[in-house]
Amino acid sequence: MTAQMWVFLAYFCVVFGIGWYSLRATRGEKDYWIAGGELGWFTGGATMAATHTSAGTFVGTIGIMYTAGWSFGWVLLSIPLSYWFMVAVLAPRFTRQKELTIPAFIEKRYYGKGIRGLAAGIILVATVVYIQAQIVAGGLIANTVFGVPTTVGMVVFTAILLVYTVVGGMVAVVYTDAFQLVVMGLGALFAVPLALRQVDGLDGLLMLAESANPLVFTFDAVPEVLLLTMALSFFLGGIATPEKLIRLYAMKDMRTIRRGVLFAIVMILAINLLVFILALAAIVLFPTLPTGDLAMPMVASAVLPATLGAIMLAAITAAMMSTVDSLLIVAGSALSVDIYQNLIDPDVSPERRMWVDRLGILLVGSMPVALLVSGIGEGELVQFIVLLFTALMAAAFVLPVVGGILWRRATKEGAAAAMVGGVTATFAWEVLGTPDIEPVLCGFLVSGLLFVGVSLFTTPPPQTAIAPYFDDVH
Amino acid sequence: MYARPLSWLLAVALLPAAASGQASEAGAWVTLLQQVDVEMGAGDGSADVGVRLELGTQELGAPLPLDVPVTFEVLGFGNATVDEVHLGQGGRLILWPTVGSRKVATVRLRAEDVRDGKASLEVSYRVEDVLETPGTAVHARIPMLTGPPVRGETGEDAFQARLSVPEEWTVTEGFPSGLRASGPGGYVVSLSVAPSIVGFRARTDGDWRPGFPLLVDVLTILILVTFAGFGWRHLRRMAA
Repeated sequence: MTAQMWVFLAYFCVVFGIGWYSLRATRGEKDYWIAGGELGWFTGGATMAATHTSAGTFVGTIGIMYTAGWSFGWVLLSIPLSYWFMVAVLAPRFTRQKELTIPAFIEKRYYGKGIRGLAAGIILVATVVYIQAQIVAGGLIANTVFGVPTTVGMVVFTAILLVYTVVGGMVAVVYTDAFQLVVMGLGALFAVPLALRQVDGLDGLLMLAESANPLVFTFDAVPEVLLLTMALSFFLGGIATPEKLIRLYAMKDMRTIRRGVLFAIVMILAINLLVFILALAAIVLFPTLPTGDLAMPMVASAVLPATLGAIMLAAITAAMMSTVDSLLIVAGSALSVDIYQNLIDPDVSPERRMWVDRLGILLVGSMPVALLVSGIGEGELVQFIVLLFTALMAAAFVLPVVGGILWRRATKEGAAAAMVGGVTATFAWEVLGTPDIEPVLCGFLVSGLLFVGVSLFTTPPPQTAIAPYFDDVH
Repeated sequence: MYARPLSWLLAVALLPAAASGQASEAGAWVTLLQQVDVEMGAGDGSADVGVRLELGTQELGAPLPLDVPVTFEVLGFGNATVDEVHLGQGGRLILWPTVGSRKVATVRLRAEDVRDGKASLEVSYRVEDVLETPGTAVHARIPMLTGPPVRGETGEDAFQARLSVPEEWTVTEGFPSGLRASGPGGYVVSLSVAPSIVGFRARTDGDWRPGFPLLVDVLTILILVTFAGFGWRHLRRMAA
């Protein structure tokens, strides 16, 4: 066994240990889906930051910065803005009524089971595609570290994720996320000084990076309008993607949410800043990489010492796992709670519910790997699937969620039209639109027009639907 | 479904390569193997570097683009830089400064350089001032001549280097970090792509001291074990 293998083995033992103790701490559905709604600021903020910091950061962001330069870094400044919006505008009203899932909120605010099923369906389809991309990356890392075929790596990677998520639910997810955030942070934190030692510190790095790629500090590599619409995509996706919103329900109260989100913002910015520096180091130290996606694996294997290098690769795996486990919770709850228990068998007994919940996660988690093994969806690039997923979620959910708690006149029909229209327009732009503009712009505009227009032309919502979010708020 | 972003990424991915004058499209040169020998002189702080390159194309079996010149580049680190290289087939190649410390040169390969569907090229160069010597510790960075990108994601070690230093020196840290001892005064390392430098820190008095990477490794393990311990206690309390 190599040092790398020992590190991975130790890492997975810790994750299984957390899953086991989380099973013992899970006493009901509320524990299983939202960790009892009693998380503190550290675990709540850490799970939010870890979910955000996916393979998109450790493989995609560094890869794009390697090829396109620092202009992409400005895009990511929209992220703290979105978290501020979430905590200052959205959370106070959104968390007045704690639900188990986001579609459950949609049902309550928009007074209909059908619209809840629609929201669950959108979540289900989008997350299966997104999880596929992460699983492919997991298979590639398993291939690099253990030398097993990528397909075997994907199956094993999924099996590990499913075991602790199915068993421990949200409690397991938040505690593994906190651990994974520490691993990711340490890997990036120690990689930076080791890289800087090779290039005469930060000043030397900046000078050498410009020598190696003269476009690195310019805006010439990517069209400005594309950068702006990417920023919009990250901003809207940051506000209202279901896997982030559900964490607001999982935290204890508004004070905890404020502190937790602030902690998440600090961690996300710090990790991204470290990743930016590592991208520059990769430009200098490895000027002829065939693809930017190899930048971080090269930093891990050639800049870092053996143990830390293995920990860094484990951190990249951790980044994927912490994102996928959160999505499994969201997609699994969409299938079992919002579709099965809501539309198919509303009278299911409480004892059976937990089994249905676990079966939901198992089914949703197995689907992407089954599709991949069948050859469907192979070869897509992680960072762009992240962007497409974010655009779809933003187009579908930002207006129904944000508009739902800020605008009394928002109706069920308006929300349904916004979801369907937003998703359709995003897909249409993705396939037919100009590549210089992110599809989120089109999706969001169409969603907004339909949300407002259809709401104004339909019967106003009943008082029972809006009272929980608007009463006593002036 | 992802045709739009993929085409955008392809365009962006070509930017650095285009900046260095060699796009990695089909039919362009790729590096199949780069073997490097670095010989450190003890006294004058210089290094002699020999490079053997095997070049081919992205698609196996495709005709070699002999009409396309091969571009080489080198990044200078501090005083350590390269102005010219000697070609194994005779002649020398001047490296021209571009931006900052980056220098480039192009060479056109001939039909007689091709064997078994691959083009081979041998070059050598001397780098002055590679050593910084604060006391008994030395720090050396030897710029590497880099050619076309490697063939995409083959998983093989396309870059193989052998470093020779005076036998009484003890290397405590290397770049690439996989640099390992191989015989008296000899060190070897291999990577999937060529780095812009091969570097090391060593002690000239033969003493062994822990290098910075070892300290980082130990610190990382300590922090993780401490954090895991606290987490375990917290979860046990929750489960109880």
